[in-house]
Amino acid sequence: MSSSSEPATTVTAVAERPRGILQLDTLSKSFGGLTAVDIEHVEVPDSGVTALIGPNGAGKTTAFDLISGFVAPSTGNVTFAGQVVTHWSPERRARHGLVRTFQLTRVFDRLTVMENMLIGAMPSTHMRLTDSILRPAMTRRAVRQNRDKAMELLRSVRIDHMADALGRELSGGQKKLVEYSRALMCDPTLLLLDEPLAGVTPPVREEMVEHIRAFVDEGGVIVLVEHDLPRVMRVADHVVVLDRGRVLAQGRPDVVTSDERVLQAYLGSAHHE
Amino acid sequence: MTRQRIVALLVLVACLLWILGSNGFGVGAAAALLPVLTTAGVYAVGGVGLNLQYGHGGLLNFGFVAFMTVGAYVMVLLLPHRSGPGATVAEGVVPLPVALVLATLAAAFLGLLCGIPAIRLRSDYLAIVMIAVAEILRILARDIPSVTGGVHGVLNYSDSLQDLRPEFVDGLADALNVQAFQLWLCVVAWASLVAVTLLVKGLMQTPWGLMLKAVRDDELAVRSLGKSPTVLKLQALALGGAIGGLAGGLLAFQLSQVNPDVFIPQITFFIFAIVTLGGTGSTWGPALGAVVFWTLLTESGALVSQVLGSGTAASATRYVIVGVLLVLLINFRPQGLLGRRRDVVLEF
Repeated sequence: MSSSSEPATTVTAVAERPRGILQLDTLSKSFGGLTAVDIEHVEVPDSGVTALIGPNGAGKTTAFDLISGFVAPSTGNVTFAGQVVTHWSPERRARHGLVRTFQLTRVFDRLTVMENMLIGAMPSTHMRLTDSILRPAMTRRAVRQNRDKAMELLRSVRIDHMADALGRELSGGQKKLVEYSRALMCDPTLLLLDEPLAGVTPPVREEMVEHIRAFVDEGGVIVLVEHDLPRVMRVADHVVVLDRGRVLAQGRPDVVTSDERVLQAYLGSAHHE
Repeated sequence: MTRQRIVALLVLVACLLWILGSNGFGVGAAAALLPVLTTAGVYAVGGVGLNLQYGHGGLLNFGFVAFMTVGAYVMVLLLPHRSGPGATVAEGVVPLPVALVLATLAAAFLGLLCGIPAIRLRSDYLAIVMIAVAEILRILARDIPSVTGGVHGVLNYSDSLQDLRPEFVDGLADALNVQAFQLWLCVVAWASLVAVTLLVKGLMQTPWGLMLKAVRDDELAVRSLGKSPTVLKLQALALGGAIGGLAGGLLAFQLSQVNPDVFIPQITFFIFAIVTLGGTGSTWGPALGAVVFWTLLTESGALVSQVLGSGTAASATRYVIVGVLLVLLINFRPQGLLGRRRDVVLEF
């Protein structure tokens, strides 16, 4: 009896355990008559960098909004780490490790870089009014620890000298780096980066690629949106090609780039550049 | 001491000298200063409440007077008072300190009540909801005379405060040649002001305060980092409302009678002017802003009536003067006297 039940549980466990960290099933979003995203099935493996690529208007950012919860889908489900999170708020998803950045960086302009970082790290509980009033020692300790952690992260992206600068005083590239490090302060398991390499100078771009690789090497998972194909090929382990909201192809970068449909729909122009 | 603080101090001294000077620096000068300082203290408490909501939290509230209405009525109705057309005598329910605490709690509750449906709206819609709430409360106070005394209002409650007046205030009042009850009210108003200012200052240095500033800057980014702004904004609305309730209680003592005509929308905009003058989002801005505002309003009134004679034209002209000054201020120094430019100006 026990011998027969054991394999059965194992089988169930295997069946329940998602193969990827993130799954999108029949996920769609329509704005009026326009279907921005219509994804049959996408699975993000639980390691490495997955790139979401496609020409302008392919629905990449909408897909990001759906995954992070900033836009509610018309149909379908988002499954993250084995849980269906379709109806979770963005903040709840972030608390569970699904953290995103934005295409147009959203650094807190009127806070310093360090304060930006602290907002990222602070557990919601330590932000509570009651804790701030009634347990000042605990909150002070938490702030101190987070400050150390923030400084370490800022050092790693080489903007620690800007810790006391205001968000608005940063250059575009520095903002990207702050937003990236701030997201890391939340200890994400899956980091969604919206065009992390766009609009930054080549040296910063190189650094960004290094940081992305380092994060992944330490076991983190990244999904990024990127427009520029050669850059994607450098960082991505897995590629999902979107075209007019639909998944055109997905798989290893070299396989995807040799796919005839992808070449036709998307790479055609980029190929000749 | 930074240059900004020196300028602020000079402005404060100039205001005080202006009032004293226009009253001849004589024995009566202190008596002329006291009402202005008292009014400034009371409005500054309101300013601290609004500054928490608007300056720190970015919650645009055009109905701040609603909190003062609730605070004032709740407090005076719990104290021994007379009310209504027949000046009906009513016994006190609780002692003054308890009444004041209940008044602030009631105002905080109003904040929650308005906030729960309105906080998800964009800030300009919150402003509209609040202005409506304030007007509804004022009209309700007028139309349920059995509770609020209607247009006749509530009076004869001031003894509750004056009974608590310590001996030394009488001695000091004699020495300054001012009335003891007024000096006591001034002391209470400024003590409350210092207390709430330090409270808000302390709060803004906690992680909660930092989060509030972040929410004001970019709510979406806050949500993307796993924090919910809704509860935080509600707390700011309630806490600022509680401080507004306290200001309402103090205003009741200063006016020595409470009726619906007191709580007109103009009060809200006085407080906005005070916060803007002092510096939106600054710690001591409301206190300084209130002194400057009431000095300007009182003394420009005196100046204008010298030129135009007393009358409606003169009393309207002083609002014009203050209005023009505010417009100039917003244009050339949007951060007010004590604010930081980075807190109020979006472009660098």
